[in-house]
Parts: sequence; structure tokens; C-alpha cells
Amino acid sequence: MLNNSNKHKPNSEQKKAEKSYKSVKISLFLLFIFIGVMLVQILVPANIIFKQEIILNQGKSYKMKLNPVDPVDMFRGNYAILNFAENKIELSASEFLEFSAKKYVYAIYAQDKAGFLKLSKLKSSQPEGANIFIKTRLENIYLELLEKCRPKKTVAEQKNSPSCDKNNHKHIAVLNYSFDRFYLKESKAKKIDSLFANLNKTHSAYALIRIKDGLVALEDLIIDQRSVLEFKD
Amino acid sequence: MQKSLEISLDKKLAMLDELIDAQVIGTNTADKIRNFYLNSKDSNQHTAKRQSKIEFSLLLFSIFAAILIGAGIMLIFAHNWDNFSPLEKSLIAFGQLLFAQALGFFALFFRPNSLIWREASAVFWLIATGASTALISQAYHIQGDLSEFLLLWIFLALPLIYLLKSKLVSLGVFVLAICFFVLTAHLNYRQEYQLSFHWFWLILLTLMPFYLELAKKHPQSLGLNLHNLLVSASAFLALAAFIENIEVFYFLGYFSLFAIIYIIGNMPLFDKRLKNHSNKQETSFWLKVSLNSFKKIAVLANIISLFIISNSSFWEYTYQKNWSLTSISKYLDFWINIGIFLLALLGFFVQKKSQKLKELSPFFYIFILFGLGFILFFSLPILQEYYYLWALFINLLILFLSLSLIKKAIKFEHFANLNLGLLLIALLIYIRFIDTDFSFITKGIVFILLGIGFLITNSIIVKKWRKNAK
Repeated sequence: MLNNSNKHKPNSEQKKAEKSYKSVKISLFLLFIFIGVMLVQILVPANIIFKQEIILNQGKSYKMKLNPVDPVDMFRGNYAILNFAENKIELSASEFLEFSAKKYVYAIYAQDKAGFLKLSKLKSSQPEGANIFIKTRLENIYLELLEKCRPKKTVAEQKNSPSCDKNNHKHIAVLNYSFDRFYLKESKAKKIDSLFANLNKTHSAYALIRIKDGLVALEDLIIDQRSVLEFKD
Repeated sequence: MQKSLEISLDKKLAMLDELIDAQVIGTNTADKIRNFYLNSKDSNQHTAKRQSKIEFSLLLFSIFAAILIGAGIMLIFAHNWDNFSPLEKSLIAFGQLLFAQALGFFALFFRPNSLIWREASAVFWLIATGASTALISQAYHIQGDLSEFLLLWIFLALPLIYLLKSKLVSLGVFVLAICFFVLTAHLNYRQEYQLSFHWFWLILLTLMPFYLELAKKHPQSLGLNLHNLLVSASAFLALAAFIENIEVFYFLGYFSLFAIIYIIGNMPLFDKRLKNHSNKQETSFWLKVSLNSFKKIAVLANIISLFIISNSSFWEYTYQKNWSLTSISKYLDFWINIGIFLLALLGFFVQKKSQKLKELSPFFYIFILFGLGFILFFSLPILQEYYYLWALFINLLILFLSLSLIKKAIKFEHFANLNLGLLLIALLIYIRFIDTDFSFITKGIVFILLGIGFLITNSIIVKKWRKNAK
């Protein structure tokens, strides 16, 4: 009986102790959640770093030729946009059907004499063996009218043109590389912009990439045989 | 009347000094009186009011500071320090995140009762989570997808809302979620679009407990009203996501949705603050603007939509589509809209039971009128031929609504409603006038007349109100 009444009416000290115990419990709970949130927030970006560092350290180095362009993005600082020369490939009719619903494909490459990558084939599953390949997004897939079948300007040309009833199209796939931005100091971006404008005429440019298991890390941008990182402001 | 008799505490104390100078009372008596005033309930209220004002401005400034510093750090990093390697750059970005986390830790465990510490550190933390991911992607030249980046940011920042109980982070995540949805929706890839829609729902769902708690605990806050605005915007967007075949028919869904939002605004959870604040003189300007924002949003959305369909080209377009009730009932769109309409109708009958019909805003009935009209329009193709009559009817409806607003405003001496009604009439005349080919001089004269009409109506009515007050 006595014990029971004590339980129901705790004195002020007991109350205080209970209260402080409760608050410690709450703050421990908060601390636990805080550490969880903190860890997740660190681990997610750390995962990005880890993946990229592995590719940069263990991947093989290749060169990819570039075509001109360079806009400015306000959101994430300045960068040079990389327009890769090897982003289009002609498909066969059966491949066209195979890839038309695909979001990602495996692009297989060969190396030319100068060491540049040349797009040679697309596959829908990961290729095996010693192939050089990149997993990339398929931007577009379309039919292109063959040159000889395009509408002719004059009536005479129209009459002489061969018949184009069947097989009048090429099947084209366009790739969208995710590594098509090279971030740079703002002061350099302008200079590189002017170099890019005259690309293929007096200047040449390529990107140095590293590939490991179909994943790519962008290492450097080379213009006229010099790394842009060495450019003066 | 009461206000004119009241004298502020500062004035009372100044008067006391005057009385001492004039030797009406001695310094002893003056001290006693001063003590009385300073300890009175009035003065306590006064200091409390003053303190909350100071606290609010401090809060505002500290949040601005947090945003500015966060953005500043982000810009400095965005500069591209070419002499650092990607790994070194990312470690610096991590430093910023760790700093934000340390601030959050301090706020959570050492200043748990300070609103300023919690909100400011939470905002800084929100920016730091996004910035660190963005900067690391930049260091490694990963372009990524903006919508994917936003999604990652949202999920990394979501726990902050509940951890620090931050209204601002909740608002921020709402805005990010809407950005994400709009961004992915415009891509028009059907598959990705639906996927993003699921994500959007999930984010809204995780935000709801915080929002409902806010509505319960701080029913009069500016924060809640901003939340209301974003909740309504999300609802409008969510409905837009279904549009596939019969876009015109979505006006039925939208008008019903506005009615549902109005009903939500009428719910005791959101409406009680109106009754608590019946004393007009005590409410500040901001409070008046933000009181029951759901109802205001519903009315505003109704007005905008009515103006859109008041144009005869809308009805002409619908007529040319050659739709009939049987042909559109094949689509899922049709049943979605009918479903929302029925839901609103159900809400209407519940409202009717609990409230006198006269108390409801006339805007509340639009969806019923429109729903019946639309079904009639689609079921009888003969009616579609006279499409311009439908436009005329909508114009008359706007006119009627404006007049009823003005009538009600005059009765209840509501200045804002009076001008809203007048503005609607002026807008209606303006828009219908643009459609016509009158010369600039004629148009100019009409606008001048409208302006003068505004001034005269206002001054006459205010005079009348003053007379009544006397």
C-alpha cells in the first residue's frame, strides 16, 4: 500500500529526476538522428568522389576529338561545352528496332592511328572481352532521308532522279555523353571560347578521358597540344 | 472609438515628467505612478509586443545573412580554382557542409529555444547541402541532370525540416519540389514524366506532417500562409499532370479544385484564426492580408480562370473540336475531372449542412454552374454552334460576381473587397475592349472614365461609411 502511494505521488525531487531523465532521452534521440542525417549527407557526395577517383586512378586514358561551341551557364560557374565529333552512328534496320525504346546503350569504340576513339557499334547489353566501351544515354534515334531521295529543286532533276520507294532512309542514333562540360576559371573561358570558334580551321582540340568498366571521368581538355589548365589567364 | 482614448505608455511617462516640472505632483508620487505604469499589464503587453517585433526583425536579418553568406561561399567556390585537383576541391566543398552541420548541431543542442538560431542555421544548412553536391560534380566535370540534382538535394534536405523544425527549409523544399516537377514535366517523355510525378507525390507526403503541425500550432503565422500558397500551387500542378487528350475539359476539374480549396479554407483548422481575430483594430496589415489564405487563393484562381474562358476563342476552339459527351467519356481525363467534380459536390453538401448558404462566397458556386453548363454544352451539339453566347454568359457571370462583391463590401464596410469588385469590372471592360478595333483616343477616354469612376465610387462610399460611424 505504502509503495503504491509513493508511486502515484512522487515527490518533487523524483519529478525533477524523471524530467531530466526524459530530456536526456529526447536529446539522445535527437543526437542519434542528427548523426544519421549528417552521415547520409556526407556519404552521398563522398560516393560521387569515390567513383570518380577510382576511374581516374584505375581507368585507361583515351582521346576524343571535339567540334566547336561554348555557351555560359550561370548556375554552376563557367565551363566549356564539349561537342564530341563521335556522337552519331548509322544503324541497321534491326538495330533501329532494338534500340528505339532504349534509354541507355553501350557504345563500342576503335582507336585510329593518332589514338583518337572512333565509334564503331552500339550494343544494348554490356559487351564482354577487351572492347573499349562507354555506357551512355541515347539522345535520339531517327530516320534520315537518303541524299539521292531528297526533294529536287528543278523539275528536270526530279525526272532524272532514281526511284526511292524502298530503303530510302538511313537509320541514325545520336548519343548524349554525360561528360560534356569542362569547368574552368572564368578568365580562361573567354580565351578558350575564341579558340573554339576557329576549331578545325587553325586549331585542333580533344578531350582526355579515362574509362573503367564503361564509366567515364573527364581528365583534361587539350587545345593545340596544350592542356587548358596550363593556359595563362 | 476605444483607440482614440488610449494613450501609449511612452506618452504617459512623458506626461509624468511634465507634471513634475510644473510642480503639480512631487517626485515621490511621480515615482509611485511610474512604478504603477511600468508594472501594469498594459506595459507588460507593450514590452512583449516590442520584444516580438525586435525578434522578428532579428530573425529576418539573420536569415538574409545566412542566405547571403551561403550564396557568397558558393560563388567563391564556383570560381574554379584551377590549381587544385578535383579531390582537393571536393574536400573544400565538404568543409562548407561540415561547417553548416556544426552550426546546426550548435543550434539544436545549445540554442534549442531560439527561433533565430534554428531558422538561420537551417537555411544555411539547406544551401550547403545543395552547394556541396553541385561543387563536387563541378570539380569532376560531371554535368548530370538538373532534375536529378534537385531530387538529390530535396532528399538530403528533407530531414532538416523535422530535425530543426524549420519553416523556411520546408518552404524551400516545397519550391525545389515544384521546380523539379515543372522541369521534368516539360520534357514530355511520358515515362520519365510519370516517374517524376510519383517522386513529387512522395515529397509532398513527407512534407505533410510538418505542414499540419504548423497549421495546428501557428494558425496565424505568415509561414503557414506561404505554405498554403505552395500547397495550392502543388495541387494545381498535380492536376495538370493528368492532361492528355481533352485539355478543355480540365476547367471543370480546376473549378472543382478551387471549390475544394475553398472548403479546406473553411475547415475549423484553418478558419478558427478568423474568429479569434474579430477585433479589427488589433490585426496588423500582414495578418489581414494573410488571414485564411486558402479562401483568397480559391477566389483569385476562380477569377483568373473565368477571365481565361470569357474569351470567345476558347469556346470556338472547343466547338471546332467536335466533341460530344459520348466521344470524350472514352478518355481517362473525363473521369478524372468528373471525380474531382463529384468530390467538390460532396464537400458542397457538407458545407450546406453546417453553414448558411448566404455566408459562403458567391465564388464558391461557380463550379456547380460551370459543371452543369459544361455537361450541357457537350451533350447537345446544337448548343455548341452558338459558342459566342457561352462566352457572353461567362462575361455576364463575371459582371454579376463583381457586383455582388461590391454589394457585400458596402454592407460590411470592407474596403479591399469593394476595390476588388471595381477592379474586376474595370478589367472586364479593359479586356473586352482590347478585342475590339476602337481607336486609341476612344480607348484612352474609356480608361480615363474608368479611373474617375474608381475615385468617385470610393469617395462616395467612404463618406457614407463615415456618416454611419457617427
